[in-house]
Amino acid sequence: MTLLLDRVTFRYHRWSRPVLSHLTYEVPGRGLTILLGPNGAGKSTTMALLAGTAAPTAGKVLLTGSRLSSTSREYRRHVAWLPQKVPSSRQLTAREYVAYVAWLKGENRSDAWAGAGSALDQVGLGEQQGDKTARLSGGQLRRVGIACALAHDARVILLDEPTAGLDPHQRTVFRDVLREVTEKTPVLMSTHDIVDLADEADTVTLMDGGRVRHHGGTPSFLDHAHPEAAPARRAESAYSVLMGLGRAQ
Amino acid sequence: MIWWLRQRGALGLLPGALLAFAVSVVLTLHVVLVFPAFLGDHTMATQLSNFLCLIPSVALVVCLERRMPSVERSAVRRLDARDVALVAGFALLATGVAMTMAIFGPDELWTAARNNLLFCGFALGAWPLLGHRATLLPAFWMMQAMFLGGRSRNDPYPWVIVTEEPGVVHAAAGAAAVFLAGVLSLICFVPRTAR
Repeated sequence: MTLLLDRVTFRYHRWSRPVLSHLTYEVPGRGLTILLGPNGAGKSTTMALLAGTAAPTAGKVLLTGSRLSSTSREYRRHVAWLPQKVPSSRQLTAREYVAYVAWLKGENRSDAWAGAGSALDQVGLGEQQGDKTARLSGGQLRRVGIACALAHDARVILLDEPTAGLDPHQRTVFRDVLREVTEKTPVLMSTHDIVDLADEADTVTLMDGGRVRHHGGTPSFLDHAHPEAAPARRAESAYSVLMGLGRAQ
Repeated sequence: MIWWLRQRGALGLLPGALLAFAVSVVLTLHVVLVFPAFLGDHTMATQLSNFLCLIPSVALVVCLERRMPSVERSAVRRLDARDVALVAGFALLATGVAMTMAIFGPDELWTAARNNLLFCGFALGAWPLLGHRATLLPAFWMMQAMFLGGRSRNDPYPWVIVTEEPGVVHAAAGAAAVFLAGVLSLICFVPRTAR
């Protein structure tokens, strides 16, 4: 079971230029897929459409297998969404926050509370579950966001630039958590951190101007790298070549 | 649901604001402020309690600002209707408390009830557009009523509402109309904005 954008067009306003035009894209049903592209490529719009927080102007967003559309409640129950900026709360502790999101996703109160405890343990925040989320660091808050996705047993997890603004240590911890999560649930993650994440990803999708420019396994993406590119810079080089940005070694 | 109520401040912020409103209005009932005015006879008198009617409207905006759209928009349980019920219910409760006190106390408490409804209507109506700045609209209305709202010291223009005497029917009807418009604005515009 995965997500499908079926000939989707999206405009922010009726008369504005479409951000996405007749885009068809299927999120791979396993492992980690990273969604790359420059600013304005349509990554966040694609993520918002898949999360059901925005409705397509034309076309459909579906949960394959069930054919549920993104406007349905059942669709939203199966899709977890970590926005670019996870809002913190001065009112709720980490466990209450995760339980609140699980409750919003349709869980009853006791299941949400129990799920929140185990999800926080899974992301390594078991000891911080009594802390107010406003007191957590940026990296811990992103992990709380991942816990929100785990607490309600989502079929697909969407992460919108989750590593932006994290320091190197927090990124390492985040990647470790991500590796565990992707073993059980497919994850689509938009990011600019090609160097950090290309090795972790099973699939790479490259978007530009609202279109998919490349979609395939990580080895096929890296094959586009310049032959003389240093091993540590192959992902950057492949990105530059595919984007037509000139030689990057 | 308890987490939603806690996130919105329904267990701390709103009861605290209600208490602060009721107590401060009663304590300042006979304190009269005289402001300079650009119209009329160059002074405008009003009770301090009229300014304290701003407390519930500010609390409503703070409550609405505690929404987390990026998280709540992708939810199965939709919160828009609950939020409208919460803030409209709170505004009506604060009005009801002032009216109940007015039955047993001085007539000026009817004014407090009416003005609270008016200010809450302004705040709710402006919030989808202005966000946290919506608190400025009722405050602005109060100030302009002082500076521009009087034909003479005790004779405000009909549209001013806030400085009218307690039993004036058109003022009560105006406050109720503004409140209804505010609630309608919240219902219609919140799903279409990023709030």
